[in-house]
Amino acid sequence: MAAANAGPLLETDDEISIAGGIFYFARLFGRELSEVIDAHYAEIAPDWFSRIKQNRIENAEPNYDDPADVRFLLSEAVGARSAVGDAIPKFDLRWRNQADALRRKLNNWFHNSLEPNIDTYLLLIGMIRELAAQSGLPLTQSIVAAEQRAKGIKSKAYVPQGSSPAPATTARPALAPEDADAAKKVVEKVKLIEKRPPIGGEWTGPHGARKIRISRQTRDVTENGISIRNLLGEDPDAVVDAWLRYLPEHQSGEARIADDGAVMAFKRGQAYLIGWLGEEPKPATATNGGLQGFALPYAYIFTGTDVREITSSRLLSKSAPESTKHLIAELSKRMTAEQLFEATEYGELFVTDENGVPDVLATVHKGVWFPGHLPG
Amino acid sequence: MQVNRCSVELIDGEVAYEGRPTDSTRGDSATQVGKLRKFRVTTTDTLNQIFGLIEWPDARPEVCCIEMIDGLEKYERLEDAGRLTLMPQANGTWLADVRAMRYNGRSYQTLGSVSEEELEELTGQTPKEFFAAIGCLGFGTREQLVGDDTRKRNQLAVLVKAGDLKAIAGLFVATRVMAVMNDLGE
Repeated sequence: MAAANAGPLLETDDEISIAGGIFYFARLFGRELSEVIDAHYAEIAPDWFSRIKQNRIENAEPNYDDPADVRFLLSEAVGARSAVGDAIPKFDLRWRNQADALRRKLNNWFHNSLEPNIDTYLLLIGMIRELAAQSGLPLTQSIVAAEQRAKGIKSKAYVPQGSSPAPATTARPALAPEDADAAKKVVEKVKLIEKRPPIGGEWTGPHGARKIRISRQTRDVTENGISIRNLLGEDPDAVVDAWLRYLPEHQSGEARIADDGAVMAFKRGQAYLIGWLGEEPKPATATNGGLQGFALPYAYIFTGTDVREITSSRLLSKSAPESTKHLIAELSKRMTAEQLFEATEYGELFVTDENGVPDVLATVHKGVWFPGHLPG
Repeated sequence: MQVNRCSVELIDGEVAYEGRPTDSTRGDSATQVGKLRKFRVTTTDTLNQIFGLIEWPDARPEVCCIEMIDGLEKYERLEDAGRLTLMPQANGTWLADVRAMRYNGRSYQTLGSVSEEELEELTGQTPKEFFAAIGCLGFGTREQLVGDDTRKRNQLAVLVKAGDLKAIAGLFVATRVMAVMNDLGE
């Protein structure tokens, strides 16, 4: 049944293929898991899903309509009192711990908090493959092939087939409409970010015709030699400071203003957004989730008096270029000591609940954050 | 032609150019009337600058800035610095040293030596691939290319067909415009 087991293989690392592939394997994993549970309980509890639903209602827990929803199944497998684990082949403590990690990551993914790139693909696909292989699910073969292909693309060892019609050796399924829709939403978010990047991020829109100069010496902004401080809002000094934070130091303060007020400077030939003239446009509503950006590949712990980056163990107070006193005070109001949180490239510091719903705690700029973590 | 983040447009036609050549090896620094062929360089950071290859009747050919139309102030440095001199060889080819605009500890860029790694960063390709793609006949040290045995024998250089504007413009843009764009040596 090679054709039945064949999953989509990436040809390139474009966002739509990556997002579609992740949704495809997540759904397939859920479907195959639900089939083995169905088979296990066929005799003794064919209504297992209804029973769990009822139980969740009684315990005021989030509910699901689909017994093959992977987030539902993983949440049940991780839960101490659920019988779902008993039905999963070779279910053990390792399976359970890995399922918990996968559940958290998939929750982030389904809430569009993870960027659809090759690293995210390999991470999620790899986690699914581990569990599928341990339980001997049919999708293992196709997910291993998908993972190998993605690794080949990442290392540039795989050369795309291009438009030349290569004979198909194995039937590859088209994405289901729900996977295609979900992938489209993730890609829409990518496009929104491209259109309105975070401060310090690459600006890909028109450069704008207005030329200004931001002076470190006079803390003034001039256009044709005339000060435009009166256009900088109620606190022009704060605006100038914010712009200078992102302006390359060795350059003479030249910047451009686009029609929508985006202020940009150039570094190594690339335009970067350094701020906005006048009112900053309202953030575009993030699709299917409350975050404007995607999660950065870092995790942080609030210590109660500081923030520690987990991998490096660096403390924010000793790393950030500017004082972090106000930020720590702000976080203290919202967090408990030793609480984990994440950040997006927009500087949104957030925690997620059990279902992956993000809650933004504060928004920071690069001056009060770990160097190199935020754009600019 | 594309050189990393620069677009290079070779402008048709040849005009007379009256000026003073940089090359003073013949001891005559008087004004001459040379033949000028121009190319426009536009970049992703808004530069629009015209450069030209001047072939003098009695001095080495060279590339210099003709007109700065628009762009960041840092490129204005190329109005006065960064000229590229070409050395005609007995077999009819031209030899050009591969040097680039760099900071070298100063507050402004001047021409200085450039490594192959730096060239790869400037061009987005290995130097060998890049120089072959723009039509250079060879890339290596002066010794490798023309058997130079002077103290400059290890100087990186390219050989081009005499008057090959595409190859010369490509070399100039990579080592001057891209080097200024990337703040080489900072």
